[in-house]
Amino acid sequence: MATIGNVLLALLFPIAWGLVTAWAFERFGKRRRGKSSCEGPGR
Amino acid sequence: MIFAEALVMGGLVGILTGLFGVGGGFLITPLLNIVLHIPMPIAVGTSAMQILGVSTAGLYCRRREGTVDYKMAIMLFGGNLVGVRLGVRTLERMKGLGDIPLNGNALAAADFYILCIFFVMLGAIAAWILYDTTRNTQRPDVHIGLFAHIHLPPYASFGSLEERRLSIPVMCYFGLALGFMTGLLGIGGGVILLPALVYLVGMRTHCATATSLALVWASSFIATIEQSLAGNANLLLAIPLLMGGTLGIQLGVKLASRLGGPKLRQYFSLVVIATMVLVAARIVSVAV
Repeated sequence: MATIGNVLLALLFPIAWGLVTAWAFERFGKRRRGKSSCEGPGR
Repeated sequence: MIFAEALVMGGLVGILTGLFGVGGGFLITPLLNIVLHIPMPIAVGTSAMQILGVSTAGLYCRRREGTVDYKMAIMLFGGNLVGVRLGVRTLERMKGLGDIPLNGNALAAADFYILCIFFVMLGAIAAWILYDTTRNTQRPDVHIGLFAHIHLPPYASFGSLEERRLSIPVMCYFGLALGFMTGLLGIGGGVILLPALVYLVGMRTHCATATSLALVWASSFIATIEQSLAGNANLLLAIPLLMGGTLGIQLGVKLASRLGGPKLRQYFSLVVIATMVLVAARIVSVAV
């Protein structure tokens, strides 16, 4: 059980972190500059 | 203390990721071992988690582009799945080899062998980037890759390619080689996969970038499971790396829009060479 919990935590934390931060930067970046901070240079 | 150091390291690698558009796994794994003295198997496992977080954010940002060649990604992933397992098993074998006595000092065999592999790989990456930046960049995008000239049935056709027919076994073995590196070295493989998709497979750059990101995500997902089962994934170390990385990437993207141009690739090769020197210094400091 502990192993399954460790694997799930190891998988879910990075995915959740990536989704939440990308969403937050996109949303608040857009509000500030009118362009998503997700969008890289040259676009 | 190690939390703060990992946070700073994650931030610095994140800036490079934002600047140069590469995942940074090939920098994080050796730096965790050399700077923070994390055993190589833990560095490899934790790096896989970091790549999973970064590539998830990347895929989220590109979700509306629709440029991923899913057929290609799934075919490569078939070999990738086996490659990751092989890589993790090889790492476990290395863990069991114990220490290597070097001139009176002892270094874990896994650390020594993986540092040597990184030294060669970083050298190859730096050489490739320098070659790529110094040759004529005015030529058109490569449309027919080298794999199109290998005739080994059965074949599959891909709508995103100029020469649509490619050998299925070649693609699967290519995916296997990439997966092996992810499992053994904790790198997403994007820094190798992207030029490989353009020059070997013959994809257009914008399509290769998206497909590479999708494959790196799938590959790091499997690697995280395997490394976690092997006891190599350290969540407490991954948290500051991801926190620093997220902020660093935003800063790097802003810096990249100011710098721009082929100069960026030359700076990138300098970063790779600097990491290579660090790896060499670590090996020499133990051996001499």
